[in-house]
Amino acid sequence: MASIDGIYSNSMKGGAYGWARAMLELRAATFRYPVRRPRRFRPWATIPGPGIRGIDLTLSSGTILGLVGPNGAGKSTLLQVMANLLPLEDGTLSVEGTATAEACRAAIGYMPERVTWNGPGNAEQAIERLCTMRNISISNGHDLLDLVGLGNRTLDDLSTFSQGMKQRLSLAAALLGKPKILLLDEPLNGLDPVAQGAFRTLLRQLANQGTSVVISSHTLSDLERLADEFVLMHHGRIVADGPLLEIERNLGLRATIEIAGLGIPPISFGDGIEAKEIPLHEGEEWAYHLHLAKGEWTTQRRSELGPEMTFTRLQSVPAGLETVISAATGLDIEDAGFSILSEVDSDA
Amino acid sequence: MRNRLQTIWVVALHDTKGHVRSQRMLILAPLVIFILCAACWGLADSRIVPVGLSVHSPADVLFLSSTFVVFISTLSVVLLGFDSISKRRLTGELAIDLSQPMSRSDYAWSQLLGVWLAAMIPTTIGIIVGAALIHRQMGVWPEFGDISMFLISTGLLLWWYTCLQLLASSMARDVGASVTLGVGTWLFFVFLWLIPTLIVAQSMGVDVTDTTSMAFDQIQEKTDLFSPNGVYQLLMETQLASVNQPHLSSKSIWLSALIWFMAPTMAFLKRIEHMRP
Repeated sequence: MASIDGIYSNSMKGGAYGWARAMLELRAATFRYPVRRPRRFRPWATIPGPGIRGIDLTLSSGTILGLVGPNGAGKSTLLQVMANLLPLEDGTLSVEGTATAEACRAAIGYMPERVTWNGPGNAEQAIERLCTMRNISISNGHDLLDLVGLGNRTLDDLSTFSQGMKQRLSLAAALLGKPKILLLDEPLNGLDPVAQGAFRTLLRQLANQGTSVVISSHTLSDLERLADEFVLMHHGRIVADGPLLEIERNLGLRATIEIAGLGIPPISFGDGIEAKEIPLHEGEEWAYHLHLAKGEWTTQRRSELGPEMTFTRLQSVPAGLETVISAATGLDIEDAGFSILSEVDSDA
Repeated sequence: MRNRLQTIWVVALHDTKGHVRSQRMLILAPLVIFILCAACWGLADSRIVPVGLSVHSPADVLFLSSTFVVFISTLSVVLLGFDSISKRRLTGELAIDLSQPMSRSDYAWSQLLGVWLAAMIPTTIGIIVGAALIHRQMGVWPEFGDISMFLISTGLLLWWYTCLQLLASSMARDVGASVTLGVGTWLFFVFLWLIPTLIVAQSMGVDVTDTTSMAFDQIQEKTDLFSPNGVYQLLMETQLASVNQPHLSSKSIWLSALIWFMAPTMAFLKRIEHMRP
């Protein structure tokens, strides 16, 4: 099995040395899909529809950025704009200081959502074709097929591939040519849990080597363990960005702590802290979720509970995507249900 | 520049191989080769040539065989190319293609070449084997110039159809619409072109009930300049004996062929430049 270290050269390393530079910059980026609005004498007339508006974003080297938001928020559109697939109506996009389309695309590896790879042909042929388009050695493609676990399926017809295998092939395609920026749209869809774990490890390795990664996903739980920073989109705009805890704090969400231990449970966890029992893990005698009305759980608070107290778990629990979306959009999740769609009003 | 051309060529060859190995080619290739060979064989036999057709030389046989090219080879382009863009767009592969550091115009050229080469392979085989069959039937080989002209004209015809088909495929929102657009265009130029010709002739005061008159012939040639099949027939007619030569000058026919080459090609390149995957 090939390793990413063997495929990526040392010249790409940057994040590992602790410095980070802007790899991709979007300034006031706007793109809206044209929507048909036939008029009596102009049946082909269109008006600007949903899309993204006024996006300012800087992606640093070695950063994993999670892109989250409700359906139609503009996540995939933003990725396509970054990948130079959609032209900007307004604003600028530069990758490593260059704005030419081909140079930008050379630095970017893009994995669209759910590519179905219907063939005809096999994985080797599909990758070889892309290697030609990238002007890179075909052996690089073969190494990547090994890396994503398709090394022994390279000659199988694409129509026999499962969705997970197709996702792996899409990932190999995105990694071709050692891109400095990876744009991944729902990359974990269809992958089995083991492959998801391997995928997360691979992305972390790439980030450590200086590759910037942008992942769009609907589930914070997948991204939480992976992303360094998040961008929350709604109505085609960025409504919040930064590390998750910072977003939660900025949105005024209550911090939640998961705490568990041995012995007699504490009678009180402090003023303004609401405790709720949660299921125990093996060997634990008590476990609670602590909801902090304000502030953070500090070392001092912990010592106030008693020095003899033995903790087996003490970690912060993010508020979760629904809560974050609810806070950012002002919508009540329980009332809204499926009605939350983030598309921009056509005449907005 | 050399690098760019090489990339276009290699991607095109890759796509050609894909088309050649496809299931539909298994049906189309034997059909195209068989029909073209049968046409050359049959038309070269004076005993079975339909009454009214005068066949005196291999050039005449090649000219009459070109009618079958118009039917079957152009249809093979439609059937090979109808989903070249639309299918990749639906599966998401087009987004991956367009995110590569290959310019969109280069990508468009590779797509055109890929389908065109695949369609040319069985047609070229059919024409070459057909020439051998003419020799067997008539005892004379077609002249090199006639065969070359046949191949060049056929190549141009198939290129025009490739451009039109890929343009349709890139505009269609689903595979069904892509087939409909492609087959519709093919039907219009192959079967329905006489209707605009008659309308033009009628509006210019020419008697449309006598399609053998000189006046109608001249109008027909002029309107044929606006149809790929018409230009193809005119190109083929330039190789015939002087009595059967078209009234239009060779220059205007070749100019029309050039415009037919440029216009759809440019339209397709522009379409790919602005296409959203």
